[in-house]
Amino acid sequence: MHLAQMIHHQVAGWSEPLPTSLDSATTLVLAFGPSDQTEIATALKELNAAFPNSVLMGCSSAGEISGVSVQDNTLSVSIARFDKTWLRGSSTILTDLSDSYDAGQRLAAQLPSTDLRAVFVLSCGLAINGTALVQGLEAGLPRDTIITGGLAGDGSSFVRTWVLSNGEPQAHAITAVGLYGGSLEISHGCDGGWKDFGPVRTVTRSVGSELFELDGQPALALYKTYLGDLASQLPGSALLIPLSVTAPNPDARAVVRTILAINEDEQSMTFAGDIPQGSTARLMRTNVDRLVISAEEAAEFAKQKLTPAAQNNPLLALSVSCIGRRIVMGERTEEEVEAVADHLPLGSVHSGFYSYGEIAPLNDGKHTELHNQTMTVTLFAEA
Amino acid sequence: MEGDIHPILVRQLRKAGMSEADSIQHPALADLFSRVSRSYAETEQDRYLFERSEEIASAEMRALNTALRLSEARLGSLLSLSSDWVWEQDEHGVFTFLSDELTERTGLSRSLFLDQTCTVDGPLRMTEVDLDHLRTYVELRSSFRNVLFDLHSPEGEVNHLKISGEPLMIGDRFVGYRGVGTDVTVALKAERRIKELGQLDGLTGLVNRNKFMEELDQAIELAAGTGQELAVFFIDLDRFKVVNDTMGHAAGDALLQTIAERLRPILRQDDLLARLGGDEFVVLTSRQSSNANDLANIASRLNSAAAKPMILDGQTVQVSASIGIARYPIDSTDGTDLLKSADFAMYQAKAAGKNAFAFFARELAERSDSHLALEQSLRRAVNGGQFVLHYQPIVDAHTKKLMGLEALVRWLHPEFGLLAPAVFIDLAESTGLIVPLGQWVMKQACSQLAAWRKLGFDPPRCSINVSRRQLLTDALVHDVREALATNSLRPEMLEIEVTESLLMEDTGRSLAVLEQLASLGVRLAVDDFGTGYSSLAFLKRFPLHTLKLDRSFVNGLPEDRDDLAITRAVVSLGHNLGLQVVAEGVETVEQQSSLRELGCDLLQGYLFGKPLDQNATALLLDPIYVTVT
Repeated sequence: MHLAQMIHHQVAGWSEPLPTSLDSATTLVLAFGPSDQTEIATALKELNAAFPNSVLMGCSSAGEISGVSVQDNTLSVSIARFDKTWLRGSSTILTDLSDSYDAGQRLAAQLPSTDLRAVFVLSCGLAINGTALVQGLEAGLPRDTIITGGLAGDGSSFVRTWVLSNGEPQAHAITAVGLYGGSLEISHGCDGGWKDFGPVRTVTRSVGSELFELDGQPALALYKTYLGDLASQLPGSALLIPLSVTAPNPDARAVVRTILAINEDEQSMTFAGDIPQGSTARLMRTNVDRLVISAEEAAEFAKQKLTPAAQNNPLLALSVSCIGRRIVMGERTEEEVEAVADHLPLGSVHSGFYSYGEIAPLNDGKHTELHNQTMTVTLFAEA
Repeated sequence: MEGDIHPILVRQLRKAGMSEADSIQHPALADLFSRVSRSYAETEQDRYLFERSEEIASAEMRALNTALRLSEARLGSLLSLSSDWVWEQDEHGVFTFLSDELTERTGLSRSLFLDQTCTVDGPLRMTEVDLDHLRTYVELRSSFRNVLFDLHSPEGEVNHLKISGEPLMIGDRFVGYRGVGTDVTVALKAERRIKELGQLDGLTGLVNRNKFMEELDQAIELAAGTGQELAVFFIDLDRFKVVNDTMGHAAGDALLQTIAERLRPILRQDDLLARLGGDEFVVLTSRQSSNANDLANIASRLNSAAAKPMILDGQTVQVSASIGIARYPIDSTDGTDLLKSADFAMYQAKAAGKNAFAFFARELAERSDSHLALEQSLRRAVNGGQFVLHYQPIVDAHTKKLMGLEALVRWLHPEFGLLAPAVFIDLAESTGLIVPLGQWVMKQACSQLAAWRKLGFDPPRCSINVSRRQLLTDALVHDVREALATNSLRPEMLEIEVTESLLMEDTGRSLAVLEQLASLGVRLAVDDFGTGYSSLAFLKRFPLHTLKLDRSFVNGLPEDRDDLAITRAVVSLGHNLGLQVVAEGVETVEQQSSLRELGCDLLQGYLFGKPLDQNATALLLDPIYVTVT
């Protein structure tokens, strides 16, 4: 596996020349950038020209991860030319929210199943039901395929996102790459680092992902009470207090839900996932130290799953972390990125982005899930 | 926030001899200043949010805690008003906690429960069925209500307890049950007593009809599985009513108690003896296999036990029993139907002469199904003149001269021909048709007497049987008077026959009617005499002319010494009261001479003539002798 990484800054240009020699049918080129396409139009054009034979994927982010740094308003590019692994790209356009499951199936249908080992997916970040997308994908792919990826971001604005499709940023695109062959080693890990606190509450009124009342009281008022001065920065500041939700069925597990929007008129809040009425819910909080430790644990978990040989050779590491974490960590965001990078073998490339939803299986789970407020790490190595 | 220099940084810059404005000297300094400022601000925000959430969460928890205490206090005060106590079990159903109320309310010690679970044979005892139910509840993790179990103390005392519980979960983990319990010993005992009373016959202490039917149904269900055979004996006392009416209800009750006591020892421990009501008893036996001989043996022993004389109010009284036997599964597989079959068989036994038993016979029962059709045709017959009278001669014991005729009704059925009263009298009695039929007989007999006279014959007096219903109808006296008047008959031409038992049933009322008849000048006879228990004093109250000795005593003559003695006594009794004595059922010359020697006045029976139609009877009559002076 040959690896390379570079950053394009609007003023400074490319941090190093594009390695056109790495262009091949087994080359994966990943690019993460700001939601404002004007800043990166030139860089994207150059990238397309340099890697005509490669599989080019990318999306807008809430922060580009590159090595140990997190940048905004740059195009962060990572290149991996695989030696014994072959690739197949796939893409579709989401027609509306209810198309999410079908879109997942369409993506899966474009990927031949023979020798398919892993799928990395990038999806538009707004107006998509990430849970349905993942279920659609999973339903269409061979059982043991490892699916990871994330939803595109837009800083903390939640206004527009894009995903590269045929080299062009598209608002409603979903793309995936299938990685094939017995030489590929893939492992993953994820961890949240959030803790429940305060009373256990009951969701007394909700419709889909819109929450109106907890214990018969307006949910938005409760959040404002907890946020105090920070209430003026809603909905962004609500990311500091996500909700742990347990659906009202016996085998339901608690899931973390982040706030995407608020509605002052309805006194309601929209979350990144369903909040079934009758669920029990609890506020969550964290601090920088806990988040850093959780990122470390995600990386450590993924690494332990590799064979000893792979653990010592350069590999491609893709971290998808949550915008909610970045808001909590602020100036200290890079600490969690460093925590991941520190666990990687020398010469590895660490790429990724801050997203509106992280896609990966639970550490002990068989099924792929859509996460919130979580650090997910996927490692690709070749034996 | 961006661009603002944090006050801490401003102070630090000042101490370092620098200022915000120094950032102009190096382009990166401005960015550095703002990053450092943001770090300070973020840390402050972090701490603000943490402290605020800590404060608000703890206020919320405090409020919840207060609400919880209030609710606990409310529950506690409710509990203190109830008779309940609180318990907890672990996930294996072992009692781990019992509230103080247990001892306060029931006096029972906690230690009797702790570390114990309900079993079929332990100190906390539950029936297998209840235990199964409870296990199902536990498997489903569902709440249960009012489950009963018995606490057996080491001292041998038993308390009946009732518990209701709800599953106890920690998160989604099932850890046991919690609930309330009540001591229902007193209530349950009272309830059981009430139930027992509802199932027992107060007079004899035997189970009653309800309980018997319940047991019968259960026995059938069981037998269906085990292949056992069941038999139901329907026991009806003969002539109980006579005792009850003549000697009073207290004597009747004592008789029933005596019978119950006598029947019980004949039966096995697990046979069931019940009193259905009145003088009806019933026995249920269950055997692996029971042949007809075994059952007949039981029935005949029941017959003997019932027929033994007993002393009531200083008098010797004897009744007997008629027993019907129906068998499961041969006769029926349904409880109600089985009892009905036994009842039907009992009637067969009664019809066969009482003090007997009979097995249920399907053909007979099927025939009886035609009763309804019979009733309808009987009604048509009464209205449509399908009846005729036959006449049986009554002769002088010495001269064999014709002294009387007994009018006997026959039904000239359009399909079946001539039918004897045995076929339809019971039905006529039970449907009330006996009244119009009796009226017709009265009219017909009188007009026949008149017709014979017109034809130049001199008929003797004619006996007519009157039933219970007729006797109790006010119309009887009127009918008799009218029939005599219409046909210009002298009253002594008519003899009204009533049975001994009928006289004994309602002495006051029958006495009044008989006295009115006697005042008309009509003769009165007691039929079937000797089968009842009428005493001399009793007979004296009625204005009688004739005693008709029951045919059962005549049968045994002249050999049977008892029959001889009874006949002699009846003749002597009758003569002492100034009555004529008639013997019925005389069929042989030996009987005739025996009766004549015993002093009987008149004789009736096949020996002297079967009942004959009017034309044949006319041949027996003397012509009217015109006495010329």
